[in-house]
Amino acid sequence: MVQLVGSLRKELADSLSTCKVLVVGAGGIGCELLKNLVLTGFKNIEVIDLDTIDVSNLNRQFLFQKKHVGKSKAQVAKESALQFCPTANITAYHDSIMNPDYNVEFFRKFMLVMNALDNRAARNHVNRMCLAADIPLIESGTAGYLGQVTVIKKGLTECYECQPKPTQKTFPGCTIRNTPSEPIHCIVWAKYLFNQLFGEEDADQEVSPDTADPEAAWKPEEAAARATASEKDGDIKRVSTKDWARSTGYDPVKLFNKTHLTQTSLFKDDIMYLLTMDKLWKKRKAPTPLDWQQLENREESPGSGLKDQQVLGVWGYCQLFQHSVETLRTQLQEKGDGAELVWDKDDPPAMDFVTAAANLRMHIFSMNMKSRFDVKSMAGNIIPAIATTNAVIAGLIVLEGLKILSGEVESCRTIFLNKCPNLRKKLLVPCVLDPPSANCYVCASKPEVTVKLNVHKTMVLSLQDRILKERFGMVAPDVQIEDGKGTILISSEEGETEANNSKFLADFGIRNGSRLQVDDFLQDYTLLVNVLHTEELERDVEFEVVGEAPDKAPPPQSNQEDVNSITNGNKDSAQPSTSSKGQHVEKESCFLSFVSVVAFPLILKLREYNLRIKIYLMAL
Amino acid sequence: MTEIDEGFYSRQLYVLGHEAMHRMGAADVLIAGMRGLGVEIAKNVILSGVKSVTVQDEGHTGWTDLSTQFFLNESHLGQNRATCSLPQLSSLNSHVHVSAHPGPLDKDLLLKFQVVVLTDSSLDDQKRFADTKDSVGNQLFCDFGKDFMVLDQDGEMPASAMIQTIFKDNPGVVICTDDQKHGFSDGSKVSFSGVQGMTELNTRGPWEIKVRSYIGDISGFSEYERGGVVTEVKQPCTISFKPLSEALLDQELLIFNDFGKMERHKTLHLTFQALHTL
Repeated sequence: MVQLVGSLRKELADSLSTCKVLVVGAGGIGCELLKNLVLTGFKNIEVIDLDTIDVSNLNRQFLFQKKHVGKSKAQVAKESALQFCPTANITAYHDSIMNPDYNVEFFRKFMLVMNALDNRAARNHVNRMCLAADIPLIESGTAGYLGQVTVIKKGLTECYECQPKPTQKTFPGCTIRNTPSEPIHCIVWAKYLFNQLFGEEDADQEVSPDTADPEAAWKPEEAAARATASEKDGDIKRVSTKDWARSTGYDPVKLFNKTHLTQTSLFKDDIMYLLTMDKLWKKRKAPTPLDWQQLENREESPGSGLKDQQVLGVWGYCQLFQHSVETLRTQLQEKGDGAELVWDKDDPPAMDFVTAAANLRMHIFSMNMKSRFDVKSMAGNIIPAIATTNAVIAGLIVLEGLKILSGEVESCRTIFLNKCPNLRKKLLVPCVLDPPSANCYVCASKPEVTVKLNVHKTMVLSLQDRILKERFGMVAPDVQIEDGKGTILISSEEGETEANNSKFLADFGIRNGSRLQVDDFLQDYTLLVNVLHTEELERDVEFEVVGEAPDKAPPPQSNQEDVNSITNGNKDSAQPSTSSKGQHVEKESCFLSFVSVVAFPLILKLREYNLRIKIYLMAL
Repeated sequence: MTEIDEGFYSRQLYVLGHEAMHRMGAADVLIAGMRGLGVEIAKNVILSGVKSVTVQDEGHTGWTDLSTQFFLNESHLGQNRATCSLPQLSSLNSHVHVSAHPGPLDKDLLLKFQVVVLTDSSLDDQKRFADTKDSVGNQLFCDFGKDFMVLDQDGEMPASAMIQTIFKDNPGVVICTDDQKHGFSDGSKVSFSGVQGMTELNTRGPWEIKVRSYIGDISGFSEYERGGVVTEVKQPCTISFKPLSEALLDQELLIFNDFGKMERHKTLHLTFQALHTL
């Protein structure tokens, strides 16, 4: 195997062959990255991925073939990459990087960690592990034509969590249940409905009209009265959507239309009930209930083009609803009593069901109906992806890695790959790395946050799950109240504090101004949480993060122009998140942009002319 | 029209769209030069799903190829690069017919393809072939011909809005529901669908609009009843490319666009040409 001795300094080439690196993720970027790493001369590589190979991966993850579908990504990627360089020493883990086995000691083994991930939770976690182990991290992401690579080094650069990332968009319950105005509201409703009927029932995923909608009532008392009345009558409050569905034998027409005086149906009676909440429709277009019998066998012109691309007529979606309910009912029966189905965008009947139910609701609320293809994109949070973008980004990761291993971290850049050339005609835009944010709740020396919540309504379990795990990215938090006694509120040891879960924070003497010390031992991370008690949170909002510490104002919003770049493609949000900070385009950049789309291979090709291009390479 | 394998291309379809995928599915592509750069391009083009890819290379595998050409290994030394890469390239995507051409590049061969990518050719060859063919060269010179039609200039979803009412008038006035900005601009072309009553709108058009949405004389149409959606119709535009031999001498290429490095682009331009004399 001939290595890049011609274009890399001997010391660098030597360090490549001896240093150990970690690749987190063996997907789109990971496959390209492994190929580049072994070709560049990296000899000791560990790769971890918890996923197995799916058909939809094969069109860009070129280390996998049809015969590998269902196998471990990490394992197959290792075997395929070894064919390019049989002398490399690759270790594959079919596991989650968030598993406690991969502790700070594990991370310290590496000279360099490279993220090729698709979700924010794992990115946050690896960010913290690398900060704790003080190992440089190269972070990357792509979405369609867009991509980004950045370098994170403790104390020198911003960490992954220094800049607030837009959180996943959630919709208020009453928009989903009463007043959908966009197709996505109907799609979310249809997914909830799937879980209510066939999956795990979740009280947060109600689909029936929300009688307590504050907007619907003339006065708040009236809303409350109405809510209790309806519960008493049982006319809208179903015992349980699933029990109701079961009692009809999952009869699609009954689910659709009407069965019994005390029960309701999805597309007719529920809508008629909504119409009685007349205040909602003063400024909105009122929905139109559908009736199965009236629609039945309505003549509709067949759509043209690909199956997934067609938008069917209303009766077409009624039939799709019927067929998918029947198929799912059979699936449920085959699984036996008490079984549940899990919604999966790649499972055809589950996808058909959501397509049909969402479109019927869109029609009812006078929205333009959507093709199965479009519904799938929104319902499945699909991140669009092509091989070329991943190849470019993986090439850039290696170039940044070479700089780090040459001891030139300060010359590293964050690089954006844009869809169209910018004003300087550059597709690849390198920007100087920003120093760490002093207020970062992760990498500051004493991280501190202030959380606004209602201590009488917030349970210990939701503090743990919604606030500490979901919002602050911890894996196994321990919480101690700074009350002078050191009361342990939450322990990560099993069986120690479960009894506290359903109690409210106020039950432990937590009130306005209380301070909680939160530790995550795996992440080697301590966060001080200041509690700000309030009675005035918006509906459906459990808590609000209002600033780092009580004495520090919230960070100023930067007014820079909206740069069309992504921070990271990820599965957390349907849209690529927009970078909140402007791009500090460096003046003395960048040979790279000229090299453009085929960056990495072209640079390697130039080597064939024995040019000393490395001078450029190192100066990037 | 062949069916697109929606499972296999799922994530790519969300980037390119069905229209572009169909066009790609009809294209025969030649990639000349099967060294590090050529194989990278071939891999990406094959994965993306064109009709066929032919890889051409007259040369034999040498030691220096092995560091970048990932589909070649020591057992291929001394054998033709294109032929040796063929089995691995073919296995990337069963929907694409991949073949190897170990012979020389000539005009007759080139004429069989819709797209030609030259990666390892001398400047003379590049100029020669550029005159016969619209081609893509390895310094990312793109020549898509004199009349290259761009069907969709920005790849964004066409703007669309729901209709509240339409006044039967000359010019006709369309009022959209006002919960969202409609996103149209003066001179946009639009089509209508799902309009009840004034159904003539659904079948005719596209209509050029002015914002405040006058759509031309519709005073003879039926009365508007309800419903309907107005959607932007993207207008194709034509771009003309210069052939390589002309573009190389073109001063426009030398107009600097980066105030950070006044002379760099000229140096690079000359450097790349100088490479060919080595």
